[in-house]
This record gives sequence, C-alpha cells and structure tokens, in this order.
Amino acid sequence: MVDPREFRETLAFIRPRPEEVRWQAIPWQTDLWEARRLAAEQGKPIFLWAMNGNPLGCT
Amino acid sequence: MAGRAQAFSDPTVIQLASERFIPVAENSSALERQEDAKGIYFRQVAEQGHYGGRTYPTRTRQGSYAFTAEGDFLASINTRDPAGMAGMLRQALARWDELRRPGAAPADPATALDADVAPVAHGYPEGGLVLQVAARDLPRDDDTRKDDWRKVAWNLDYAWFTREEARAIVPEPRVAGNRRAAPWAVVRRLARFHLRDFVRGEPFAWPEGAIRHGELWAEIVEVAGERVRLALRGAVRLEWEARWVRPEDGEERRYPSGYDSTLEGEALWDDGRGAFTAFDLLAAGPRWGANQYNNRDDDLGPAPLGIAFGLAGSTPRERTAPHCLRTWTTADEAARRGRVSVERHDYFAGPARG
Repeated sequence: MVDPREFRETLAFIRPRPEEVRWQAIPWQTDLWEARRLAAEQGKPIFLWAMNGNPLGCT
Repeated sequence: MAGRAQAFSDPTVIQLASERFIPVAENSSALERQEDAKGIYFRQVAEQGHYGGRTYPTRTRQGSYAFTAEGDFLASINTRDPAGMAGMLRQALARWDELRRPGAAPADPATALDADVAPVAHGYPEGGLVLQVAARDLPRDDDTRKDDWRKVAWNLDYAWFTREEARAIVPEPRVAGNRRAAPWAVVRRLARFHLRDFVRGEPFAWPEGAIRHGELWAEIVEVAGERVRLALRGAVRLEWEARWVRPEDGEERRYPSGYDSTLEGEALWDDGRGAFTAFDLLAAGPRWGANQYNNRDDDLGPAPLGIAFGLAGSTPRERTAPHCLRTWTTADEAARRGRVSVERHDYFAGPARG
C-alpha cells in the first residue's frame, strides 16, 4: 500500500466502503431554509440533523 | 462519524426520514449563532428540544429535530442508537398527525415563511473541479492504537477549484510527454485546507507558513481527440507547532505537527467539455502531532495517513462546502476569526508564492 495497482488499492482502502455510507441513501438537503420551503410545498415535516462541522462532510 | 455509521445507517430510519420527512443536515455551530431568520427559526425549535436552555457542560444544541415549516416542535433526540432515532421519528409523526386534526392551533412562527434569507454565497465552482476528499489512517508497522472507533475512523470533505484553475492544470500544447506545474493557488489550497489530519475530527487549517514544500505536476500520457490523459505527481510537506488553550483547565497545549505527503494520481481532461471527466489523486505519508479538535492527543505519531481525492457528483449532499470554508455570518466579528475555518477570499485566493 502506498505502481498503478498499488495506487488503486490504496485509494480503495481509504475511500468509504458501502456499509460506511448507508446514510447517504437519505436524500439530504443542505439548507434548512430550502428544506422549510419544500416542507411547506409538500406538506411534510422537517427532519433536521444538526451537528458541529459539516454533517455530510467533515465532522 | 460514529453517528453516521449507526443511527442513519438503519433501514427503518432511512425509510422514515426519506419518505415521511424533508431531511436536511446543517452545521449546528452555525445555526446556533447566525443572526438571520434561519438562525432564529432553528433556535425557536431547538429551545423546545432535548438541550433547550442548557448551558453546562456546553451550550451545544447538536442533535436530530423534527418540526413543521411553521416552527411547531414535534420531537428531538441526540443519539447514535437506531432504535432511539426511529422512536423519535415515530413520535414526531404522531404529533404531526395531531396537529393536522381540524381545530388544532399551529405555532405562531417566529419567522415568516417568506422571510428573506439570502443564501450565503459559498462560491460553489459551477463547471469547475469539485472533489470528494476521504481520509483514513493507513496500515502501520507497529500499531498501538486502542481497538475502538479510533482504529476504524475515517472522514469526508470536499475541495473546490474553479473552471479556470482546473484548465490551468492541463499542459499545453496537448502533446504526450508535455509537463506543467499546477498553479500555486491550487497547490496552496490543497496543502493548507485539504492535506489536514481530519481522520478523527476537525483540525485547524494550516497557516501559510506551514507549507515547507509544495508542488504538483501534470504530464500528458496520451491524447485521443479531445480527451487528454494525465499523470499527476507531486509532494507537499507541512510543518507547524499547533498551540491552543484547553478550556477545561486553561493549560496551553503545544504539539509539533506536520504531514509529509507524496502525491500521485491519474486524470482525464475533456477539451470539448472544458472539464475533467476523471480525477483520482492520492496523498500518502507520515503525519504527526495533534490539534484542538482532531482527537490525536493519544496518537502523536509519526504514523501513515492517506487522503484520497476523486470527482464528486452534483447532488445537494455533494455540494457541501469544504470544511475549512466558513459558510455563515454572525454579528460577532471576533468569532469569525477562527482557525478551523477561513473566509471565502482566503480559501480561493492567497498570496503569490514567496
């Protein structure tokens, strides 16, 4: 682990595995104000995940 | 990362959140502080939630909240437990059904639905090079890490480069064997904001002076019509003493910190589209030290760190701003001068190489 084969193996090792990113199946919006507009438009409640950092990026 | 791996990986939670709600994820630190209608709206809801009114041990309002567009609080929780999260969502839906009965009085919204909230111009580079960045510890010769979350930690981020910066990476003329050094603005941004040890948390941006060496070269491997295949090679060495005062005991912490990385990669540029259609870049090498929010105090190294860059898609999630790019405004100017995040002009610009 860091040669094209070794390069690809290392990339695959670092990048998240499918079981680590199941949360990405949720169609997250990234702006509460846009979510509020969509909730009013579609007649649904809002589900907000509030976390320090970027919940969908670096936390 | 643990919350993402647990509570939001549960099929029931995924189904409920996706089908019955409008799901949204935002930075709690920003929502707790920002002085606009969005911040007021969040605080109206959060003060009715699990941490409402709390000031000790922290004032954080992190967690998961369900509420209506008008600001009716439905339910909230801060948990990594999938059953607890699913229970909260079901409780919220029961309350939602109650509120929709004839005669039920909705909340008096603290902020009008049509209140003007100008989205912060983060500088998303339309048509540019948008990369997803993943970081993980590489295998070690002598591994003394505890056998817990720290051993399997990984993290995600995004890196942004403008269309002009992306184009400037590709050598001219388009002839196999031709080489070109990437613009300093590209190397600097990679080094200061993306070659950080963010495996376990949120490290400071490297200061300008931490870049002891930085270069990234592109060489044309093959030209086929408008498609240009590139090899990427380079190296970045970062070194700085991280200092901060621990709020718990007022003690100053000082850790010599650094990352000595080799860069290698492959990319495919399409002259017809004026964009990269493939881009894989790997940074690997020893990192050492710690800083306030990256949870490395027990793992000072040196130890190998890998950071993988690849093309991001264009869903809302993949348009998440780079962690180092401050994306909110507050009335408190002092709070804006954080070391973890920088203003847009600092992220995108920067002094000439000196």
